[in-house]
Parts: sequence; C-alpha cells; structure tokens
Amino acid sequence: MNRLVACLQRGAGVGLALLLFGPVSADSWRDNSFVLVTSDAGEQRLLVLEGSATAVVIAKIQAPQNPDRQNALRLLQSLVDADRVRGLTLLAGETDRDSLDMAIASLVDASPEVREEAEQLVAEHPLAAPALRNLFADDEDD
Amino acid sequence: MHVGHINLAEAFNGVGEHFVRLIEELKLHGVEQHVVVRNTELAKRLEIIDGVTVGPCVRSAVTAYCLMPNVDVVHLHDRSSWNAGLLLVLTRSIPFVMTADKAIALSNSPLVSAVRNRAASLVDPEIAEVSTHIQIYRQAADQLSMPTLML
Repeated sequence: MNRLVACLQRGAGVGLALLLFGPVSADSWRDNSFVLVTSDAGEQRLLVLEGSATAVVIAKIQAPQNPDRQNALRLLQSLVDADRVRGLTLLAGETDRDSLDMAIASLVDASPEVREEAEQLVAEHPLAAPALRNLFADDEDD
Repeated sequence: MHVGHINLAEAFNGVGEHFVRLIEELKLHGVEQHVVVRNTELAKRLEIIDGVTVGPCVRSAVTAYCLMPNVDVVHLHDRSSWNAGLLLVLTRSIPFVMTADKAIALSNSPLVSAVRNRAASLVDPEIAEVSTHIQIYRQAADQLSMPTLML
C-alpha cells in the first residue's frame, strides 16, 4: 500500500513538473519528496513536494544558454588553476552578461593568475560599470 | 581528497570557532579544502589557514552552489546551506554530508526529509574527532552512484 501511495505521489509530482515546464528532465531517487525540473530554456527549478498535490520551488538556477559559456563555466568550476584560466580565456572578447558575471566571480579566486585574467576581462568588458573598469585599468597603468 | 565546506551562518560565534578548528585539523591531516561562508569575519579567519582556499562571501545557498568548485564531497554545516547540497548532488553529482542534530534526524518536514535522504551521511555535531570526519568524507565520496530518470 505504501508503495502504491508513493507511486501515486511521484506521478503527481512529475505531472506537476510537466504542467509547469513542458519537456523536462526529472530526477527521482531514494524518495519522492522533491524533484528537479529543467525547462527547454535551461532554467532549473528544485521543487519540494508537500503531500501529493502541492509543491514549493525552493531554488531556481539559470545555466548559460550558449554552449561556449557552458564550457567556460565547467572549466571555471575546476580545481585546477590552469583550467580556470583557460575558462576565462574562452570569454575574452565576449560582451554578454554571462561572461561578465563569470569574470566578476573570478576576481577573488585563490589563484593570482586567475585573478589577473579576470581583472583584464572586467577592464575590457563593455557591460562592466565604468568605475569597476577603471579600477582595473588603473591597476594596469601602475 | 578535496572537501568543500558551506557555512552560511550569519554570526561567527562558538559554533564558528568549532568550524575553524575542524578546518585547521583537517588541514593538518592533509585534506585539501575549499570553503564558502557568509560571515566576513569567519572568511578572514579561514583565509589565514595555509592551503585552505576561501571563496567569496555569499548570502544564498544558490550562490554558494554556483561558486563551489568540483570537489569530491561537500559538508553542509547549517540549515541555510541545505539547498546548495541538493543542487550540487542533482546537477553536478557532487555528494554532500550534513551536520544534523537529533531534531533534524527525526523531522518529518518534506524539505528536511528531502535533504536528509539525499545526504550521503549525517554528521553528529557532537563528533569532535577529525579522523571520524575524514572517514565520513571518504565514504561519501566513494558511494555516490545516482541513477537519473529521464522523461
């Protein structure tokens, strides 16, 4: 009986995910109290199911759409300094918000090489606030 | 082994001191560590530990998730960081362990049970021995084998 209830609840959760997102990938293992759904647009929502009919979104993440940015992000999450530098190198010359966000997050990286590359990217990025751009441009002059 | 720690507690109190001691002792045992915390004082305190990398201070679990590199296992030290653990294991297959007292271990809340059931292991806050922590991390890093249901 418990198994039947669990199956019904899982079905309700997945059905809810389908209603919300259309084509989705869902992960369900060990228990059925939560589900991760991914929309075609790459947005992922982590839902916690409360009972069989209601769900609460507890986190939303938006992965970069562009495959090149996804590759750069993958490299930036590496533990190897050289990989993170390479990830930033892939962003050189890019002018979108994702590349700026990744460069700003790398400004406080533990590796001096990564920080240097990030500073250069921010200094040259057209969407960076002028004050931030100038900060690193001045550093280079020094 | 490379261990990530997420601690999103606002205050740097006695629990924070315990946290710092754990990081220091793990370092002495040769464990590589990356730490993401919320409290800036705590971050500064951790930065002086040689060989421990400290990420930017963050406020939310989602940001902590984004800024956590690909470590072998992540230890969640407080309730605020639970969502980060779920996201890490679901989207990047990084296992997590969580510090959990008896109330958490027995709770029926959907969110608590979701996180608890996904955790590779629960760490009793009373455990002080660093060797026990290392053993828990090793087991967690080894045991992840997650089937994914594609619809």
